Amino acid sequence: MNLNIKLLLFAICIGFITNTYAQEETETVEQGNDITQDDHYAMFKIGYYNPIAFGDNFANEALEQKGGVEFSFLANLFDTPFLIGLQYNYFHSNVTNQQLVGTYDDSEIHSFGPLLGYQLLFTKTWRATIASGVGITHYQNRASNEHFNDTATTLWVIPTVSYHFNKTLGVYFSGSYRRDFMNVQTPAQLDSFFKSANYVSFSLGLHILI
Amino acid sequence: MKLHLSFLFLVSLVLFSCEPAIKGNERSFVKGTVSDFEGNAITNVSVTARTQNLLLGEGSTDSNGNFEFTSLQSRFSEFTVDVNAENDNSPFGMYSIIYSEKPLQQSYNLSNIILRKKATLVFNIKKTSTENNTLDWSLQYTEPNCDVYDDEETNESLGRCYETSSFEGTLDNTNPDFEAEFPSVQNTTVQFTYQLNDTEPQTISIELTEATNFYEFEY
Repeated sequence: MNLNIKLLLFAICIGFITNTYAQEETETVEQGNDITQDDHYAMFKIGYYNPIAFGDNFANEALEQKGGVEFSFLANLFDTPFLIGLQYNYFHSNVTNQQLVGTYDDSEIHSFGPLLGYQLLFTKTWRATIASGVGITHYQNRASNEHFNDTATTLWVIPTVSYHFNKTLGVYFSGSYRRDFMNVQTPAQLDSFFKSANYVSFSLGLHILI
Repeated sequence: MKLHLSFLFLVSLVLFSCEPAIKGNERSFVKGTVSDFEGNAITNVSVTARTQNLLLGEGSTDSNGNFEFTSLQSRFSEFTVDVNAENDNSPFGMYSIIYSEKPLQQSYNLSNIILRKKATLVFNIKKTSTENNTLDWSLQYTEPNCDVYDDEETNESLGRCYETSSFEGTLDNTNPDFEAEFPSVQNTTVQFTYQLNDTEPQTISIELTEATNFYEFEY
């Protein structure tokens, strides 16, 4: 958590420094349309990731989500607004009700998968994209002296807005929907409870455009 | 060659030992009802599921004596549900249902578990006579716990449910007195049998009507 906040502060500082530098540069040089020259590009996101579970499922009723990190990469296809890339994210959950899920203490949740997206709009300073993908997720669960994994197939829908200080560097905010389709085998009584986990995720961090 | 074999052995040992004891992607559901010997629901009784010493799930009874909880599944074949195992201060004894050979199920419905009230017999034998007497004695009492095997091919002889247990001893001038507490079941009878020297054996019935019962015998 501290690491994430430090990372975010570092990103904002870098942004301001490079923004100041860029403004000084553009005062002496002709006002450029650097960001609007957007024929071929790749976007990296790295930031704080905070999912919040909702609905009648194990993640909402028995787990408490803590923050994590996310990393994603998107590049446009053939100079079009269509994007393709990869996403990784990680977050932590503490078990708050062992009666509902079994006696383990916490989970580290790692997800990875491809993304397809579309750049909705861009200006000199603002960009908006939407991306969706299907990936694999591992719930690495820890009991006192034991560990075991639950797995899931994850669907993401990730709209993102970013503000750019200059051509390469900016910050982004994203409020996304995520659904983990769990592979957990249960008796009929527990089927709907363990079938899937729904999250709304908020993320904030550094946006790099090259 | 020996070095290679040792290395392979160590690698396989590490890989084998790293296999989690708990199965991923599987859960069980355990539910049931707990009542006393008179049929009254017992509230707030702890129920746990375990395999060997590994705790897999836990819950407790509600005001109607019902419990239900989710349990993890282990790679071991044994699965035990313990009722009232974690409360020494409880007035009730412990009840265990053991699944030893049956393939693990996903749903365990333990319809009606009956707990009996514990009773303690504080038992004393004192030698008051100055004569050189020898006392052979024994106690037969009901054990306060119940272990039931619930397998497809039930072997009832393996289970011990409120069984009669016995304790015996001999007292004489060198070892004249005895004092001990015996855990048993309330509203049962303890049979105290004694034989003084070569006389005929006598039996005394001790009714355990209270949670703690005192009995003193002098010879």
